[in-house]
Amino acid sequence: MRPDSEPERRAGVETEKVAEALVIRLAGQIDDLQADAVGARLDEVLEAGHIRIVFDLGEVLFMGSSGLGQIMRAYKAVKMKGGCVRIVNPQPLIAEVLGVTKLDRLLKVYPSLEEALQDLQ
Amino acid sequence: MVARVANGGPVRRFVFTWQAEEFCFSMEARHDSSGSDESVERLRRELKRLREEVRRLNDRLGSAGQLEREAIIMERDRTVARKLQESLSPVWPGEFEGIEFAAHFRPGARVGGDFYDIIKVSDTCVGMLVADVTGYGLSAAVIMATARLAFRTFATLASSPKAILEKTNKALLDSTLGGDHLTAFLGLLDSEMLTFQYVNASGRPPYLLREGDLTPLDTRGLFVGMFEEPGYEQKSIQLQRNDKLFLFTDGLIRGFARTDGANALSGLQDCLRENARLPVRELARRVYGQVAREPEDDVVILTVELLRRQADHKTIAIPSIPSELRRVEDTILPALAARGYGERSLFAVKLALEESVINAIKHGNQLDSTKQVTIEFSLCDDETVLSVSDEGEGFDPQAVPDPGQEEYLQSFSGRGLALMRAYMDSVEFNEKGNRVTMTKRAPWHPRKASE
Repeated sequence: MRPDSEPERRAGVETEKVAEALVIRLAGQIDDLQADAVGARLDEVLEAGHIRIVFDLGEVLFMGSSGLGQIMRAYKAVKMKGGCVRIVNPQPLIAEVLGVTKLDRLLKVYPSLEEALQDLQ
Repeated sequence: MVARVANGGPVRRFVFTWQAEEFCFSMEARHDSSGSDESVERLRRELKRLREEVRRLNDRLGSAGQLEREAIIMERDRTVARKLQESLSPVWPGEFEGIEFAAHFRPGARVGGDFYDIIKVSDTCVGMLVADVTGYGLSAAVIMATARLAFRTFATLASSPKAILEKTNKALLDSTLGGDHLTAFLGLLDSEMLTFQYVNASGRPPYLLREGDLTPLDTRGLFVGMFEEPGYEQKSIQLQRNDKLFLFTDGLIRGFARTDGANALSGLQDCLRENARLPVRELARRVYGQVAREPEDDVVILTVELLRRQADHKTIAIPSIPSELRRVEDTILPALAARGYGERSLFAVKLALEESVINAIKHGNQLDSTKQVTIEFSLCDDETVLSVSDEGEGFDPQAVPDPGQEEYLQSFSGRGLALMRAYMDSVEFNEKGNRVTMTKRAPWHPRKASE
C-alpha cells in the first residue's frame, strides 16, 4: 500500500507569512492515513512560536475525525501560548463537517483570507 | 351445454359439450404464425388425458343399473370438475426480473370455479388474473375452463386488460353456456415501467401494499359473460419497488370469520397489515395459513412483489492495518459513483467508511494484524447498506459522549460516531458493539433527497 502514490490523495501542508499571521494551507485528502503526517508537519511549523494562525482549507477535499483532531491539537498548542486560530475558505463539504461537529463555534470560519486577516488586526 | 372459445384471427377453438349423462369435450388449437404458445399446448395435452378418463367413466355407465348410474355420474362429474380445476393450473410465467410471485389455491368441498392465472403477455408484461365462477360443480368447472382458455388466448392478442375482458365477455356470451358467468380481476404489470393497468369486473378488489398501508384497487364493470355492455373501466397506477399486490377470491375471507361477529374482511386486512413487510412468499403463506384445511369454498391467493433489485453485494475482509482502508474505499466508492451517487453522497459514505473501518482496526482489533475487519456492502436500487465488524470486545455506543458538547469540543478525538450518524441515514450497532450497520439512501430516493 502506498498511501501517497496518488496526487489527489496526498495531503499538503504549505505555509506563508502574511502580515502578522502564519497562513497554513492544507490540501488534498486529510484522512486517517494522512493525519499523522499532517500533524507532525504542523508541530514543526508551530515550534517557531507563531501565535496567529490561519488555516486555509480551500484545497482540502476530504477531512474526517482524524484530520479534525490534528487541527484541534494545533488549536490547543496555539491557545496555550495565548494565540488564536482562524479557518478560511472551506469548501461546502468541509464547512459542513465543521458544522456537524460544532467546531465552527470554536474556530472562527471566514469565507476569505482577507476577512480573517482583517479580524486578526 | 356447449362452450366454445374462438377468435377470428389466428384460430384457436375449444369446444366443451356436456349433457346430463354424456360429458365430452374436444379442442382444436391451430396456432397462429406468431409461433409456439406453450401454455395452450400444455393445456391441450392435459385436456386430452382428462378426456380419456371421462371416456372410461362413460363406458362404465353403459353396463350399470339405474342407482349405480347416478352414483357413477356424480362421481364422474366431481372427478371431472376437480381435474379440470387441477389440470388447468397456471403455467408459471418464468422469470421476470425484479418481480416475485406467490400463489395458493385450495379447492372447496363444493368444487367452485375459482381460478387464477399468470399470463406472460410479452417479455416485459405479465397478466395477473383472479376469477370466481358463480355456481359449483361441473358446470362451474366447465365455465372456468372455458374462461381461462379465453383469457389466455386473448391476453396475447389484446393490448389492455379492458380489451382482454371485453373479448372474453363476448366469447362467453357467444357460447351456449347460458346464464352462467364469473367475476374477474385482471391486471397487466409492466416489469420495466412498473405500471399496473387493471379492470375489476365485479370481483373482490385486490390490495396494494405499500409501506404497511392497504389500498383497494377497484373499477366499475359487470360480471363476465352476462351482458352485452359490461361497462369495464380501466385504471392504471404507478408502482414502486417494494410494493406488493394481493389478489384473492371471496373464499379467503371466510377463513377470517370471527366468532365475536367482527367483520371477516377487516380480519384479513389486519393480517395483511401485520405481515405487509415480509417477503411475498412468506406473506402469502401466513395469510393462507388462516384457511381451513377443507374450506367450503375455493380459496385463491395471488400475490406479487416488486423486489428491490440488489445489483451488488460484496464482502471485503482486511487485516487490521490502517492502510487497508484504501482497498475498501477503492472497491466501494467507484461502485457507488457508477450507480449515480453524487459528490455529497460519496463524501458521506467515504467519511462513514473511514470512521468505522479505522475504529474497527485501531480500537476494535487494537491494530492486531492477525485479526480481521469485515466489510459488507449491498448496493440496492434505493439505498446502500454497509456493515463493518471487527473481532474485538465491542463497545457501548450509548456511552460515547456527544462531541459537540462544550466540555468535549476541544477534544482531539471522539467525533467519528457523530460524523457517521450525521452523514448516514441510519447507524445501528449489534448488541456486542463490534459490528455497525449503516445505510445511505440513494440521492434520488423520494423519502430523502440527499443530493
